[in-house]
Amino acid sequence: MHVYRLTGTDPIVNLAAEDWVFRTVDTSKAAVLLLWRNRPTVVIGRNQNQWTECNMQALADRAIPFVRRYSGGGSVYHVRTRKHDRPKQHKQTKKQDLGNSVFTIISDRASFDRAANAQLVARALKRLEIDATVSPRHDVLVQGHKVSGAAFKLTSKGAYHHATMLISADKTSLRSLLKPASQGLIKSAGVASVPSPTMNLCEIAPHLTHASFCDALADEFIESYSGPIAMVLQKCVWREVINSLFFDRTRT
Amino acid sequence: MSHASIVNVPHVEKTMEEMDSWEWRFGQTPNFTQDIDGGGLVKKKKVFKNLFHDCDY
Repeated sequence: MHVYRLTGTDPIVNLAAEDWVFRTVDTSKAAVLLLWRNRPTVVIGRNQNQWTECNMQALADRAIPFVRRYSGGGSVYHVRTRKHDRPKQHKQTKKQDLGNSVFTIISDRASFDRAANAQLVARALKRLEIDATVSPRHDVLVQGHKVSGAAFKLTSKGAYHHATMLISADKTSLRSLLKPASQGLIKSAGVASVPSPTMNLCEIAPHLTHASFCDALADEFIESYSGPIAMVLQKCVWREVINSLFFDRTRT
Repeated sequence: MSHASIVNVPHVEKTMEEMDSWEWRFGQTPNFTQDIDGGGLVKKKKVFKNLFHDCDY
């Protein structure tokens, strides 16, 4: 199995790279964990209506892009870290210190289990001494508040589970940008987001960072997906992309 | 939106192009997506330009 961290923060590049990895990897032989995050962006589900999910005017005013992903599910706002929540030791990387981590678990269709993946995330949080539970919608909850919402994509061969983790996001911006100006005016056949009370993990674990969350999740992923799984690299282009886009944390 | 750092992987490039396209971003909700044409509102035809068709969603 392999764990990769996408180092860029461009949402379109990250989503395209995620889709490419999903379609390139032989999921019957390899489980993959991708760890990444986006610069400020609103990402909506494949079947959502942007006019009923986001405040498009506010997005335009703040020059924040919105992106439609390939998976279903609800809207997500990838935000900058709240200024006072940024750890001092990361001062030099302040501009890159984004408050919403994203991860993708790619596996074969037969062994794909939404609940098991959500439990894996909850166990990763326990490694960080955070008690987490999983809701029936496969959201990860801490103290009854949602910290992680997931979306899924399934094909005939493989499936992926990708989700965000609220570490130190600016929730004020989140509320204003995901509150559409057209609220109540448009009836949409699109899939509506399910609003939930949210909280940042930094509220109970002030020193938690994107890097420490990634480490905990990678460790838990490697333990959970144990077995003789070998990554099948397809053609040299795969290696080139790994070298240029990803930081390889391969463990056996 | 610039994608200067991306490597030349055809699949990644095509996916990025599609995700950045008007059709993908706005064309998925055809019943509610309208285009201004000569002062009137004209309902846009459903445009579904997804590159891939094997997705269950």
